[in-house]
Formats: sequence, structure tokens, C-alpha cells
Amino acid sequence: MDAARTPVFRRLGPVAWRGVLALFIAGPIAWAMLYALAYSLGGVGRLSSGWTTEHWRNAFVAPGIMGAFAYSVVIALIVTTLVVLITLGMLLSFPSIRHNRAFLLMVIVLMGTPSLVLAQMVGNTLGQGGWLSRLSYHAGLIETAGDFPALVNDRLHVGMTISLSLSLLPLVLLYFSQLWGALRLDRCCDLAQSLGASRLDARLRVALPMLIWRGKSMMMLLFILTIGSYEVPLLLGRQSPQMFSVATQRLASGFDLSRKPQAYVLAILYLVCTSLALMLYIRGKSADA
Amino acid sequence: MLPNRHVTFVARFALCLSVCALLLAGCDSPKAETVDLSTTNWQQISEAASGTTVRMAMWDGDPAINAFMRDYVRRRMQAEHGVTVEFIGGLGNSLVDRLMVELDAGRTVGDIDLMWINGETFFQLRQINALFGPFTTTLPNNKYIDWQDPFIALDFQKSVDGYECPWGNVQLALIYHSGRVSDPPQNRTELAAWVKAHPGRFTIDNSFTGMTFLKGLLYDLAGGPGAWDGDFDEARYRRESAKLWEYWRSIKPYLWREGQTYPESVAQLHQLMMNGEVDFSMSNNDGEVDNKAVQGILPDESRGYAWETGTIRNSHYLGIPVNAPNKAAAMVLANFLISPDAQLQKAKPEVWGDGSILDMDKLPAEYRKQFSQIPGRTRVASRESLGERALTEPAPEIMVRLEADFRKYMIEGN
Repeated sequence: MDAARTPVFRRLGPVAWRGVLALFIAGPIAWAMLYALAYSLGGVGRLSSGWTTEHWRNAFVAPGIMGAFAYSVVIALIVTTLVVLITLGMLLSFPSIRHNRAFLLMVIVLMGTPSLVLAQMVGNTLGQGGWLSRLSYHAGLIETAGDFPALVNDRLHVGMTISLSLSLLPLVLLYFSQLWGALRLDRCCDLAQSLGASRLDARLRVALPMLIWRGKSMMMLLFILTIGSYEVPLLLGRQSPQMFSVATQRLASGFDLSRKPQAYVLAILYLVCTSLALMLYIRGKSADA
Repeated sequence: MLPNRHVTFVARFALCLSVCALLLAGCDSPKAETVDLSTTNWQQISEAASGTTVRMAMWDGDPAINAFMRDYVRRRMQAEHGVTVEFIGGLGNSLVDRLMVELDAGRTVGDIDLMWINGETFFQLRQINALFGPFTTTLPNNKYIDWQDPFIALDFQKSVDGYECPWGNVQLALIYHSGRVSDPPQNRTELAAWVKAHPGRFTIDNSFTGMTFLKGLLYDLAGGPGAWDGDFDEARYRRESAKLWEYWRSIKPYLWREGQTYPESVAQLHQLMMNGEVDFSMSNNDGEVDNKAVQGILPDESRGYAWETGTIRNSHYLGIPVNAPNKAAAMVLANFLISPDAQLQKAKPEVWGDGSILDMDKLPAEYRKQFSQIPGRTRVASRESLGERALTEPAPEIMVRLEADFRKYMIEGN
């Protein structure tokens, strides 16, 4: 192809690609970050009275905020661990399930269900007025709805954890199923068994370490997705402690407009933390490659 | 370096995105008002509005209200005024957020022409100078409104000053299940005794309605009606709210989920009552008990009442954003919404059950008769009877502080 007929963007090469990246992705994020920073420092906003670090100081001592941060990390760790354990447990126990059409259909349906709908379904199943409670009532196990154990908005976060796990499970199942095929773990396990390993040993000592090693960047992604979840904790979580995103939104949309800059402080903290986690994820991906 | 095929794809994608952005930028962007409303009479305003589209922002979480707006208001506005009405979801803080961002960005022509607001939103919008006005005296139907009524002329102790037009008037009603509760508590002492006898069967929501209930308690603790008239008094609030939190701590272990968590909204509280998890709900709209029971959202046995120590009564309003693109049509719509016909329709329990802001003494006899014969209000006392137990909204700062302190002392301080 002569130079005159080469598309202009192809001739520009990486320059064009970087320009597009800057214009449509990095640019808006950087702009939002700068705006949030300026707002949190009192530099912009209808009620701003000048540059100050007061909002940053107040954000750290506001009731429940630091607790929300720690709580979000703990919940994200629990959900990530739970989802990965369930996925690995299923795959290691029944590797052939990857080819089961009913299983794939179920995963895809679950994947296509919005997390808000999933949260409602979990609420309607596990709540004290939910159908499990009703079944228990009709079975004579409880006398009133209040006798059914609190599994939604509860102290142990059962409903929220189940809902978050269900919303992430399909993604992780599909990823690890693909990984199993890509790493040819069936052959690896067969080889190990032909060399004398038991089937359990082959799966636990050959397949499992490879899946964990290659899947660690996915685990980081799961952690990021969970820590930023909003609808499920809002519907099924408790009001104290709250997930970080719910606490941020509460500050942003509360009756007290003077606390809005504090919401921007939290948004910046969230962005910094997830950016760091994303960097780790990308580094993990590069190492995998 | 990226492979060439990736570069081509990204370049094409960017080109498509740019073209779409340009097309969208050129499509139907709101135009600035062309009529000077300060020098025009109502006839000219009506003519300017005719043939245009007006966009109203409103809470769209109630199918009955949506049906009233869609089937009645929109149809009549089109037929009688030639104005097309469009509705946008949004209420309270979301509207404040939206207008703050628009005004911060210097957007002088926005997307909203008229919005449904109430006290704390009015206070916030006035703080950021986001309301157009005064405009209410221009509306012909303004003559039917009783501006001497403090529940209308004052919004959270702030004078309305023509910057918002009253649309409905309601009073907080406690709702109980008459099949399960034979003798509902009438004051805070009786409530404390009741919750201790029936642990886990009472709670409040963690938003507007719950805070309004707490304001009623605060009135009672501070001396009753009139105790919170006037501007916000920090020292007084601290003194009286300390009693409130002490009282709440005394009943907290007997509330639903031991008072460790609360429903996020009154809709969730209704659901808990319907599910049989609690025996009480509440509503800022005294007519809602009939309306929601008819819809099957509350049990048929639901009954509404106001405490003998009183509950908060307030009005909700219509405001025009300062950057509304079609203020003329917004005023025509506001005028229609406060017309006797629209108010009568809205007051019917099967439609909405919202209290009217019209002064019955100023209405023509035929309308007075129709208002007095509205059928269906069977689960709650008459508005006149409830009015004897009505408390005015205290200053908006009390709402702001109650929300923050409730979280600080009752939720975070678990």
C-alpha cells in the first residue's frame, strides 16, 4: 500500500491512539479528579468560601467514615474469597461442568441479571417477610415473621454478602473455566495421574496452584468491583457501618450542603485506592503474559 | 506499539464518537426564554406558552401520582393550553445537586422548567440562588390560596415570598394495623410503654418521614405547639435534642432490629408493615393510608391518626429554576395544578389523596360542595380534625441537625 492511500490515523500510529486515549478516557477522568480536588479544597462550588483544608480534616473525623473504609475492605475481602473458593471448589470437583449447557445457561442468566434486581430477589427470599420466612411459618417452624432470623440488613451481613457474591460469581466462573481450558489443565492432571499422582493430588497440587497463580489479577479485579459496589449494600446492608460508596453518596446528597466537599474528599480517596489496585492488577496481567 | 488494526479501530471509533457528539450537540438543545416575564400580563404568558413543551421534575416513585400526572394533567394541559408536558424523575437532593452543578458550570439555560419541591429543598435552593421569582402573584388561581395560613405562607419557618407556589398540604400520620394493635399510643410515654410490651414491632425510616416524626417528638419535649417558631436557636436545639436522644436510647432496644438499623425509606417501612414485620408505618401525607391501602401496598386494616401531642403539617410546592428554558409554560402549568379542578381531582383518595392548598371560603360554592363530598377517606380522620393536632415545620436547620445527630448518636453510636 503506498503512503498516499494509507489511512491518516494509521500513518499517525501510536500518536493517534494516545490522543484518543487522552481525549476520551484519561482527559475526563483527570478533569473529574481535578474538579473533585478543587471542590474538596473549597476552591469551587456555589457555597465555597475560599480555599481551605478544613473539609479534608473534617472528612477524616466524620462519624463512620474511616469505619466505612475499613468495613468496605473487609467485605471486599470476604466476598472475593468466597467467590473464588466456590468457583475453584466447583471446577476442581467437577471440571466437566464447563461443558454442561444447563450450567452455562444458568451462569449467563445470572450474569445478565442487574445487581439491583439480584439484591431485590435476595431480599425477597431471605427477609423476615420473604418466602423462606413464609415457608417456615406455614411449616410451623416460626410463630411470627419476627421469629425468622434476620438475614437482610443484618449484623453479620449475610444477605449483602450472598447478593454481592451471586452478582460476581458468573464472571469468575466463566473466567476460571476459560483459564482451565487455556492452561490445558485436563492434560496436566492426566499427566500427573499417569505419573502416579492420585486424582485429588493432581487437582490440588497441579491444577489449583496454576489457577490461583494465573487468576490472581482477576481476584484483584473482583476486590475492586466489590469495594465500589453501591446498590446491593444500600438495599441489603446496615446503616452502620456502611460501604464506602454508600457513605460517600450519603454525604453528597444529605440535607446539609456544607458537607458536600467531604463527599469529594472521599471520592478522591476512593479513586486513589482503586487506581493503586488497578495498577497492581495491570502489573499482575503483565506478569501473567 | 499497538498493531495497525488496533490503531485503525480506535481511530474509527473516535471518529464515530466525535460525529455523534457533534450531532447530539446540535440536536434540540434548550433555548433561552424569549419573553420578558416582568413586563408581560397573563394573556401574553399564556400565548407564549401555547405550542411549547414544558418539562417538570417530580418524584416518580408512586404509580398513582404518575398516573394522575400522565393521564389527567398532561391531557388537560394539551387540550386546554396547547402545552405539551414532559416529566423528569427527580426530587429533593437530586434536584439541588443538578442545579448546583449547572449553575457552577455557568449553564444559564437548563433542562427543567418546573419542579416539585418541599421545605428543605426550598431552603437549599434559596441558599444557592437557584429559584426564579417571585412569580406566584402572576398566577390567576393564586386568588384561591389562603396566604394567611402559616402552613402555606411559611415553608420550614421561611417566608415563601413568591419563590414557590403551594401545591398540596399534608400532615404526618402514624399508620397502624388495626387487626394487631387495638389501642395505638397517643404520645411518647404511651409509645415507650407499647414498644416495651411489643419488642421489635415499631421503627421509623431513616429519611424524611422518620426525621419528621422525630421533629414531632422534639416539639413535645420542648413544650408543644409554637415551641419551635422562629429562627434556629443552637443552644435550645442542643438542650432539647439531648432529651430526645435520651428518650430514643430508652426505647431503642425494643425497636425493630433493636434499633441497630432502620429502613432507608418510608416505602421500605410500608413493606415491613405489609410483610407483618412491624405493626406501624407512617406517612407525611395523611391521605396516603387510604391511597396505599386501596393499592394493596398497605394492609386493608391500616388506620391513620395523629398523636394527641401533634404531628407536623406542611405544604409541598412548585418551584421554577432560575435557568428554566420555558418559564412561561412553567407558570401556566403551575396555574393549572393549583386550579380547583386539578386540586379536587388530586384530593380523591383513589387518585392521590393529597390535601388541597385552596381556601374553601374563597372557592365558588359548586367546588366547595364537591370538596366536602370527596368519598373514600375512611381510614383516617378528616383533615379538619387532624388540623387540631397540627404542628408547624420548625426551621430547616433542625432537619439538617436531626439527620446528622440521629446518625451520630443513634446509628454510629450503637
